[in-house]
Amino acid sequence: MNIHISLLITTIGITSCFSATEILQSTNSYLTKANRIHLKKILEPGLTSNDVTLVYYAVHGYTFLEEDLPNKQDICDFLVKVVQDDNNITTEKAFYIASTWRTVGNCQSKPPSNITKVLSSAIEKETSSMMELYYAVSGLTILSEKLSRDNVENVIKTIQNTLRKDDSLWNLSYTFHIASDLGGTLGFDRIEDAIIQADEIDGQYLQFEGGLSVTSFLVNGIFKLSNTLKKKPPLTSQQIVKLANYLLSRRSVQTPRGASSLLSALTTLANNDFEKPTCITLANEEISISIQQPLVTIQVCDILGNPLSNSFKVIANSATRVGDDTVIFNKQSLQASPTDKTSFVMNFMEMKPERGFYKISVTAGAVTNTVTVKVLCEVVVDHMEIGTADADQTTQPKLTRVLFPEKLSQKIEADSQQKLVMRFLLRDGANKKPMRTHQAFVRLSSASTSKDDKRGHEILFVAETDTSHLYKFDMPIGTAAANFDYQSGDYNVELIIGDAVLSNPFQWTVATINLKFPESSSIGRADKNALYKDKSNIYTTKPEIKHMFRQPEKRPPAFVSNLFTGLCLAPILLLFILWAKLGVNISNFPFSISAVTFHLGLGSIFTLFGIFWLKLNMFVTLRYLFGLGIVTFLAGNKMLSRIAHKHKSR
Amino acid sequence: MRFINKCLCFVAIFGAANAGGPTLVLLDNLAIKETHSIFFKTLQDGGYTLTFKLADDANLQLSKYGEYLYQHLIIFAPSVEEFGGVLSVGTITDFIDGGGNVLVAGSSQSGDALHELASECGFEIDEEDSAVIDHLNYDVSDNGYHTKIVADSVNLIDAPAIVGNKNVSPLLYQGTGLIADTENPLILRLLTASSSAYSYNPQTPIRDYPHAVGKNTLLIAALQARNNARVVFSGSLYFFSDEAFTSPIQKAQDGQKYEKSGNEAVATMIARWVFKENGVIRVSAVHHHRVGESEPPAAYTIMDDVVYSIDVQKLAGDKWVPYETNDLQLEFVRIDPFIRMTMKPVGNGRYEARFKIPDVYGVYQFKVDYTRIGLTHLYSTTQVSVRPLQHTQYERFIPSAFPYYVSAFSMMGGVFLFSLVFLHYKEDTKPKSE
Repeated sequence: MNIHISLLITTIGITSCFSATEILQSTNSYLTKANRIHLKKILEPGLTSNDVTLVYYAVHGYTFLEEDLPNKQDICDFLVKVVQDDNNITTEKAFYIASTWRTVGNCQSKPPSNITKVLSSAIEKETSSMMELYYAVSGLTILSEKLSRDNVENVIKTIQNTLRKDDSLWNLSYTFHIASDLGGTLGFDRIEDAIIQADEIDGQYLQFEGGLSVTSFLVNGIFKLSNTLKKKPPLTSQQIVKLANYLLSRRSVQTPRGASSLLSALTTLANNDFEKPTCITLANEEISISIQQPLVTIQVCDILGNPLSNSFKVIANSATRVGDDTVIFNKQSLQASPTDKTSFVMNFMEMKPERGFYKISVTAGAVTNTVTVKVLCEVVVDHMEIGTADADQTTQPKLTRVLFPEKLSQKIEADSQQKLVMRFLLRDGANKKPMRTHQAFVRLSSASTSKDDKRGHEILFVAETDTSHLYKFDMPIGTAAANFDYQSGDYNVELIIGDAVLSNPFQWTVATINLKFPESSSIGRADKNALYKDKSNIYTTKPEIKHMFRQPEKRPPAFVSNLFTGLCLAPILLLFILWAKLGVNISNFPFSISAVTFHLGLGSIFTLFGIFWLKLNMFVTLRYLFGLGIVTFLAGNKMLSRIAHKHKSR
Repeated sequence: MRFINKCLCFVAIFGAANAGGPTLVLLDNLAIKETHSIFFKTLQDGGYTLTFKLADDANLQLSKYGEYLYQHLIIFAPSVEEFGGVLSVGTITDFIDGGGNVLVAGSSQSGDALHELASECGFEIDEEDSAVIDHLNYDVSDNGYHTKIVADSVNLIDAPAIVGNKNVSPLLYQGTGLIADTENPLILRLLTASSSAYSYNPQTPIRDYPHAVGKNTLLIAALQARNNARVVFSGSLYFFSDEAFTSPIQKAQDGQKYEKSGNEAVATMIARWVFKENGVIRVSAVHHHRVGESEPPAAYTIMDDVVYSIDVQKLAGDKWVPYETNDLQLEFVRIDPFIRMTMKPVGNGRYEARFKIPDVYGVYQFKVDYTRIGLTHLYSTTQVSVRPLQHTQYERFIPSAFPYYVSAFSMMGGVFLFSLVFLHYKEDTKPKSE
């Protein structure tokens, strides 16, 4: 088995290496109708734009698309207006106006003379940059103005000087364009320098750094110059194909400038006199072949989608199955389609191919390309059995047959001592042989969709085959419990069969099973779960917490406290009663300042204590107490000494 | 002195308040700039300054003299094995730690650099050559192996801040699958595949259990780090391409045809989210005081009735506007939360909570910790001290304490009277002795 697989891998490796080094002879795509519509949509707003540049791109793009301009007269008027309104026309703008003027074609009057003046002055000026020179020269050429011999020499000198300083891609391409307009051989030897700078991507595309605009401008320049000189540009056919590939890969371009450059470069490549890239591809990218649709349609055209001019035969050299390299035929010619000149048809199913991917090598004239098709088949469920068995395999499994689109009517019950067993066989619908598919998954999903778990609890298992391609699926419920998070309940058992070469992949609900898992017992799991829960809900609101205030202590009833209040008052009452009986008096009261002050002081101290109890804090109380205390102490001292003196003297 | 106990601290890290910012775009080759022009143009129109560089450019750098040169990083270079210049997976993780946002797109041929970067962010990109395959949901324009899949917009995450309106056309996806630990709470599953999808090498038969199966297959995943830096990983670079943006979409298995895929809408929203145009909220003001007052006191006393209000704002364009919700929670925390309550919106992005301070004194914090999918982490704490009752603040005239009061005062009164009587009593002895 292993040897077989490694062999397979090596063969795949070899074929892929082979295809990588394969010489690209044709592109795989062309400018389709849909692409043209897309490009037209991008260019369309330019026609009514107020920007000369956009109008230029739109008008040019339309010409390359061979679309009629709907508003020629408006554009002419617009151009005239721009020339009249704008006193300071740049060389660039002048070129755009001149070029649009010529392309639109039927603007009545001759282009205003100041355009020519602007362009000529740019040439005569010594400080003109390469870009300005290019615009000036091309502009004048478009307007069929002849340049004087002196001017031509000046221009050539400037170009040579500039190139010595800075031979960037843009400068090189300006050179090519100017040279072809002037008709000189200037710069032809530099084409190679430019091409060397191209970057290759994936071995398929060739582009110049800076993207579509510079690539397109260079391609135009190179071919324009070669056409003028009637010399083949130093480009190999491979490079041309790669350039075309790159341009075609940019069909989804989004800017009017890009669309216009893309169209002009593609048209240049398609119409050049030296080597026209051809496109051999599957029509409509229809790679699926089945009994219902047995035809392989090959499209052979140029990169703009037009039929090739020369006559040729389209031959399918061979068809090789990907994977095991079985060659199913050699040299088969394709029938030209009567309706479409670019289409060639072959009935592939006549060869009775096995399902799979096939590489067909197609030759049209001198060009060969490989296209990939896949032969689909219909999968048929031969039989399907589902049931349960004891996990320790002591008894034969109890299996029930289920017919394909139906669902088993009764529910299967399974507990943790058992296992779920499925046996099924798939057959190729065409030759009735048992087959394997890439995807044969058993999906168990919770039948009751709980809302709190959005992923809906699905677990997928891969069903495996034995040597006779019989699929087996065993799931011991006890060991699988962790996958289900110990959630017992009803689960739907679904079978998903899919493969790239199947015409009818399906997802089939086979049965409903009631799984009973053991209770999750281990403490470790509970801990892990707690941690998980803690983490998982950071995106939701947390439960509210209310503070529990301490309950006030129980108090005795008012009667008891009043009683005790009374008891506490009893001694002083007793004192008063006894005093009353004794007949107290204070007749000895000496009406001196000290006595009055002492008693008032003592009284105020007690009052202060009362106030302290009610509102004051200790510091304030102490302050007052200090004053009162001193006064009371002094007064008391004096009063007591006087009383003592009185007693002594007696 | 009055405010010595008061400490206001806001911990909320904001991105730039204005949209856009310098962005470095790393590409495999410059053609990607053109094939993904719509996406880049939307960003440029949104005010981002994009700097395009090849991923293996020898002069790559993210920071200069300790300052980051870019706020955002886009890596559209699936096949890069090693970044050029001083850029490495380490510097990119440092960039994320420094608050930078990163958008990464891989493909079936993802290089080592991306694998490493992904695992630093808590994802795993499936092995090289593997692709997400879905034999039941593939597009009609598929190349044969059912890898250009149609992802239903239902499988988008439920977070309008990230993906916008979920009610868009299906999405085209072609690329590898991502795997993420389900227990990592910082990872957001922006787009998952359907149940019938799996990630495997389409050209080899399945021998091992695929790394990603069914809904566990992540197509686009995001990470919002604890410092609010955002990272989005897409397994498909194609998802962002002009082709995917503009092409019609139709499931090959008798699906409805849509003129245009939902890619553009979703990709734009995701880009706006990852570069912090959406889902950025902040605290603009916090007030707290006792009921009936307007200034915060030096310290609260236990069982005070307190009013706490917080103003939350959301970034919209380059303006901060009130953020409205109804699930903002306030915690009153002393080590553990003593009170947690949902605040009442009172309009204009202001939320208010009224509660009674617990009867336990100590140093507390008013804490608002708001984490929602797609929003930046809102975290504000205000520290206050809560002291016990002053002795004058206790209850007076408790009936059961009357005996104590009465005895104390009767004693005082007694002393006063007794001293008066004792000192100045005149014995009336004569009549008695005679």
